Amino acid sequence: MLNNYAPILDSCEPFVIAHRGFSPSLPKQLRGMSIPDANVIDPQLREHADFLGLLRHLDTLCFGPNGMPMPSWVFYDCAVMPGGFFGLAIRAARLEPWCLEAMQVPAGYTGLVPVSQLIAIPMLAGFAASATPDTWLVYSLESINQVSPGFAPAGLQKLTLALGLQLFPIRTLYGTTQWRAHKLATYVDLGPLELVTAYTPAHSLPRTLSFRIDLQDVHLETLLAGPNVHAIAQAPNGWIDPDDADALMALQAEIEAGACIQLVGRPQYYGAQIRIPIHRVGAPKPLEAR
Amino acid sequence: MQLPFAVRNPSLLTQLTPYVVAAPFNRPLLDVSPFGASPATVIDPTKLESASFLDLLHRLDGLTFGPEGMPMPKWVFYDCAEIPGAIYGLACPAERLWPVARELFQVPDGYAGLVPLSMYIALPMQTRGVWFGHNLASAGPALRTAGLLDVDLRGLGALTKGLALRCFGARTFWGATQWLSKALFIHVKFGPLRLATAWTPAHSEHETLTYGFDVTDASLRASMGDPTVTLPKIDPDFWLEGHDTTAMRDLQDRIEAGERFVIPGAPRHSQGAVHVPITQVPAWGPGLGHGLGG
Repeated sequence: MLNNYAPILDSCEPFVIAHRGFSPSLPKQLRGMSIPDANVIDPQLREHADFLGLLRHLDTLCFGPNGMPMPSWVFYDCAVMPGGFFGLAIRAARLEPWCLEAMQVPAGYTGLVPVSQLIAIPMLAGFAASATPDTWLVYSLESINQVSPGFAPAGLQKLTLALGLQLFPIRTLYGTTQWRAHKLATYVDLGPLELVTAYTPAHSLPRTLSFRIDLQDVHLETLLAGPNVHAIAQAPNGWIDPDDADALMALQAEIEAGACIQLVGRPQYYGAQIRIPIHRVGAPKPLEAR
Repeated sequence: MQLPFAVRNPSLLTQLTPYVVAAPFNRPLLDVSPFGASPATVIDPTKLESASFLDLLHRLDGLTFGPEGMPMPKWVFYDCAEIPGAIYGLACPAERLWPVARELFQVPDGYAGLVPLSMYIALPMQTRGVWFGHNLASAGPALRTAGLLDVDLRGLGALTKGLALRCFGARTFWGATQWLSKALFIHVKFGPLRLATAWTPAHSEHETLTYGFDVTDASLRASMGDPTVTLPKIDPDFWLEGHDTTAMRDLQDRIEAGERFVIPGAPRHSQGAVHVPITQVPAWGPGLGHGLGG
């Protein structure tokens, strides 16, 4: 399956950011892709300051337009210390001048330039049955291609998600993203996502959704192949307009009342209209599906 | 609210009521009655009805950290506290809140719930019982600045952090703070602080130290002011001035080379300078302490 991603494998290297108490427990290989020791970054060492600065710049490029760049104290306190990063990077010498400029690579820097990243942190719920967490939250998944198409090979975000999920010992995955985010299509390719929230005023952008999925049910080959409909997803029995706050609030009210609602496919675009397929578990089947 | 030991400012226990922000999937792993305190009101961040309280929590953060330039965006509250971890704090019912404080917090008309006056946020790390704290907020300084000089919230920060760590089930704690931060005075109440970094380029403020300690009954009770608990005293070997970035880098180099240090006690203020005591201790292993490599 990784053959489809050969241009990424040819040009990019994996990197991990994890403190020295956590990194020894992580695998050194992901689906045959080795993670060189030199690419395992300890955030507590001064020598990695340049790389960490580039990573922060990548985050600013990707989330700044949404008004959600990550303050770098959050980067330290809420990402690299409790959890970890996985990402893909390109050697500075292999980048074209415009790419070096876009990423503000310091003159003379010859190291890795990050082009994608996934942040995962343990959740308290993950300690219910074991001393090491099996439930993790991914709250950041980004690729330079989302703001600078052509910077790196296509498929970067999807491969980063697939490999990152194998790096960390995740059994149950929680995630948060915006209904209009392009990455929602990538997450949905994992399989049916159970909605935890559909409308989230606790977040900077209330039109944020929270989801969970048991990774035992996920077939990463399916994620990497990216079919239009996931093999284990139920047929949709409803559609949601992500721009309709009232509809999202109504969906949230259903969830709070105990309904189980899944996202079962990628957003569909019809001109300026977007509809996202959902499945209300236990709801009567639509006529055409009977 | 009552505790089975004396605290520095007992009036906090009678005036304030505890709360915990916890998602339903995390709630079973929390002790909402730490040390037998009255059960905390549970706020579920995944419910629409919690929005007003969570907005007030955001306001508390702004009142505490806005002046220092590190206020927390709402998405950080959600993604980096409410969903993966928990928030514990002490609050005042809106009907009992001082009018000046109502204005300061911008309490909505008709709101009759709790108004948070303190909070402590921490995230579970990669091993059970190991937590990383990232926000200790108290409305005390903001209320004093607003002219509420007769409101006695002394000791609120330490009380909140002590109860929170028990609520979370923390056995080992790690955190990051700046050398000049007043919060360092609270952190050292838990006992000597192991230093994992002294200069931290991965943080927005490079003059950040990463510190940790074992969470024990004694350390928690001492932090809250229980006079029956005395933690061991360690003499400092030298003092680091809170503006001296060269000394921070040198200390970081020594940590990276395998030497180990603790902050054994409170900083000392003199003539505009802040001196933090440092003591070298025997290396305890290859890592930096529990949860950071043993």
